[in-house]
Amino acid sequence: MRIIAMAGLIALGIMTSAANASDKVSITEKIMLQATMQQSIAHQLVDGKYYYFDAKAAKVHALYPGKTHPMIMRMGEHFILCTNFRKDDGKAVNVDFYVARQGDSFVIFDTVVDNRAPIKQLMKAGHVRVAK
Amino acid sequence: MALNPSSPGPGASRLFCKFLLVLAPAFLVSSLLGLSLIAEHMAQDTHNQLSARIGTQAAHIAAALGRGYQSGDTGASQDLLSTLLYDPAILCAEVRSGFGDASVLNAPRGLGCIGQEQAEHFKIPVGVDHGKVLHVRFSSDEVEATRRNYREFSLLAMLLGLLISAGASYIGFRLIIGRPLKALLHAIRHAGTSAQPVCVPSSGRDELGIVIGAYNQMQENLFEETRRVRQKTAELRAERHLNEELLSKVFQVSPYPFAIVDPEDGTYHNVNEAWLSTMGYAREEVIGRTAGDLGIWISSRERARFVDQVKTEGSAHAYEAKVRTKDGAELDALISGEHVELGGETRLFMVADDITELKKADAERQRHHAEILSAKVELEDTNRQLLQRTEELEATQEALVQQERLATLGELTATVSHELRNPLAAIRSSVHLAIQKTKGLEIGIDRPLERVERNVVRCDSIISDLLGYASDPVCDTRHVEGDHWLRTTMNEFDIPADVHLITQFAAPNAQVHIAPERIRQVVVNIIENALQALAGMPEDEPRVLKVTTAAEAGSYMAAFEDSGPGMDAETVAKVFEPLFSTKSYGCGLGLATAKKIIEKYRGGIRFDSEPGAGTKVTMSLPATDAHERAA
Repeated sequence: MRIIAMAGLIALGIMTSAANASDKVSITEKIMLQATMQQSIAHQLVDGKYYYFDAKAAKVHALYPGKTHPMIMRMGEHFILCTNFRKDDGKAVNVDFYVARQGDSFVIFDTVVDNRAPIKQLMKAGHVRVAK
Repeated sequence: MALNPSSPGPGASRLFCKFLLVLAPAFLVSSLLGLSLIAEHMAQDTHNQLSARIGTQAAHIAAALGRGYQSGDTGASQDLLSTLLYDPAILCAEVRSGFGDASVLNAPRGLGCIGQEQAEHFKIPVGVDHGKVLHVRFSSDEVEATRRNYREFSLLAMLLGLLISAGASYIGFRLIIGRPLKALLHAIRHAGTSAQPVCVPSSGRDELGIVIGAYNQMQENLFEETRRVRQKTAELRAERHLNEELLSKVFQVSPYPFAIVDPEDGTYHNVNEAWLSTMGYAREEVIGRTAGDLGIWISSRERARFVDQVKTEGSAHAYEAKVRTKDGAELDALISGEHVELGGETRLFMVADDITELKKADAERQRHHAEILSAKVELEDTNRQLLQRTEELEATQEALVQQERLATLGELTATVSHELRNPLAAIRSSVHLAIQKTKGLEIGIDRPLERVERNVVRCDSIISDLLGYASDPVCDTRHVEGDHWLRTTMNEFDIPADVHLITQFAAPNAQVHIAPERIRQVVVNIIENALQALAGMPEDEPRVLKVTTAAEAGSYMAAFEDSGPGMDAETVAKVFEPLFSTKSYGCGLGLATAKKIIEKYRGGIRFDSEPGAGTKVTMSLPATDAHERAA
C-alpha cells in the first residue's frame, strides 16, 4: 500500500516538475505580456475602435475591445495572447497576438484576426502549449 | 431447508476490514493525486487571472497617463494612478521619467513604493514617446492563498469523501456480501452437524450468487452421495455380519485346526475343536495364553521367522514347522496365518494342517523309490550281461552254423571232386595216350590235345582249391620256430630271376604252434599272388619281393611286400571274399582259404595296398618265446 502511494506521488511530482520546467513563465512576465498586448490595442484604437483590413473580403472591419483571455500560449521562445473583440453586430471575434521578447520588454510581431485554425494545428502538433 | 440470517458474522467484519485496508489507501492516493492536479490547475488559473487583471489595468492606466500627460493635467494623472491600488494585488505604483529615475507620480500618493522594494514588480512605458515608465509592485500571495485554500478545502472534501465512501462501503458490504456470506457460513456449519442438506438463498447472478449456487449444488450432490454411501455401508455391514457368521461356523466345524491370535502379544483368543483335539489341550488351558507359554513351537527360531513374515508381508502361507502337542508328541504341520478384521479389531487368523502321516508316507515312498532305482540298476546290469552272452551265443551259433555249412560243403565238394577227378583222370590219361599215339603223325591235333590236357590240369587245380577251402583236414600241429620254418618254405619257391627277393628275418626266437603244411599253403598262396602281380609289371620297372618277420606283443608277424601295381581300396576290401578274383583264371578261393586257415590257428591276415604303391600282406600268428618256453 505504501509503495502504491509513493509511486503515485512520485509520478505526480514528475509530471508537475516536467511541465513546469518546460513551460514556466513568471507572473511578472505574464503581466508584462498582458500589458504589452493591452498597450498595443490601446495604441491602435481610433475612437475606441480597432480597425483591421480583411484581405479576403477586401474590407476594413471595426472591432471593439472585449474580454481578455488570461491564458497565455507559448510557441518556443515566443508567446501568443488572445483577446475577444466584438464586431459592429455584437458578434465575438478572436484576435491572437504573437509576442516576442525584446530585452526586458516584449513586442508584438503579428496579429491574427478571426483565424484560430493555425494555432489549433500547432497545438495539436505540440508546437504550442499553455504557458504555466 | 433455507436460512435467512439477520447480521453478518465476525468473519464478514474481518473481511470488510481487509477490504478497507485496500480501499482506503487507494482512495487516498487517487484523491491526493487528483486533488493535487486540480489545486495546481486552480492555482495556475488564478495566476493567469491575476496577471491578466494587473497587466490589463496597468496597460490601460499607462495609456491613460500618456493621454493625461498630453493634456498636462497632473492631478488627474495622480488620481488615475491611484486607481491601481484598488486592485488588492497591487501594492504600489510610480511613474518615473526614466528607468531608474525618481518618481514623478506615485501611489499611495506621497509614499510610492517606499518599503515595498522586496515585492515583485514590472514596468511598462507610459503612452508613446513620453520617456516615462510606470513601475508597479504587486503581490502574488493571492495565488498562494488560492492554492492553500483549495488544498484545505480539498483535504476536507477528501476526508469527508473517505468517510462517506467507507460508510457506504460498509453498508453495501453488509447488504451485498455480509448477509449472504453469513447465510453460507451458517449453512456450512449446519451441514457439518446435520444429515439434512441446507440450501442458501441465492443473491443473484453475481460472483457470490454463483458461489452460493455452486455450494447449494454441492450440498445436494453431497447429500445424495452421503445417502448412497450410507446405503452401501449398511449393505456392507450386513454382508460383513454374514461373512463373520459364516467364518465362525467354518471356524467351528472345520476339520483343520484354526486359531485366532492377538497379533500384538500373541495370546490365543479362540481355537476350534479340531485344534484342541489335535493339540490335546482343553479350551481354558489355551485362551489367554501364548504359543510360547504352551511350548507349541518346537523351534523358537521357526516361530520368530513365521511372526516376522506375517508382520512384514501381512500373511504367511504353508509355513512348514514342527509343533508339540500337550502329551509331547511332535507333529509336522503346514501353518498359514493372515491378518483379518474381526469385530472391528485386527486379529491373526491361523490355520494348521497336520502333515505328519503325509511326511511319513513321503519318506516311505522315497525309500521305495530308492529301492526301485537300485533294482533297476541291477536289472540293467543283468540285462547288459545277458545281451553280451546272447551276442556271444549268436557268434558261436553263427560259427557253428558256418562250420556245419563248411562241413556240408566240404563233404559235397569231396564227393563232387571225387566223382569229377575219376573222369578227369580218365580224360587226362586218354589225352596223354592220344598225344603219345599221334606224336609225329602230323595230323594237326597236337595242339588241341595239349589244350585239353592243360584244361584238365586246370580243372584239377580248381577242384584242389575247392577241396582246400571246403575241407578242414585234420593235420598235426607242433611248435616250430617261425623264422626257420619260413626260411625253409621260401627256399622251396622257384623265384624268377628278374625278381629281387629281400628277406629280413627278425624273430629268431618266436615259436608258433601250427600245422606247418596248412600254413605253408597260406604262404604259397601269398607268394604266388605276389609273383603274379610282379609278372605283370613292365620290364623296365624293378620287381622286388620283400619278406620280413618280427615278434610283437605275443605275435609272430610275417610281411610279404611286393612292388607290383597295387590295388584300389574297393578291391582290397573284397580280396578275402570267396570266388572273388582279379585274374582271368582261378576260382578266387586262394586268399579266402588262406584267411580261413590263419584264423583257425588264431592268427590274422591283412592286406595293405594302393594303386602304384605295391601290396603288403601281413600274416600274424600267436607266438611264444623259445627261451621262455624252454625255461
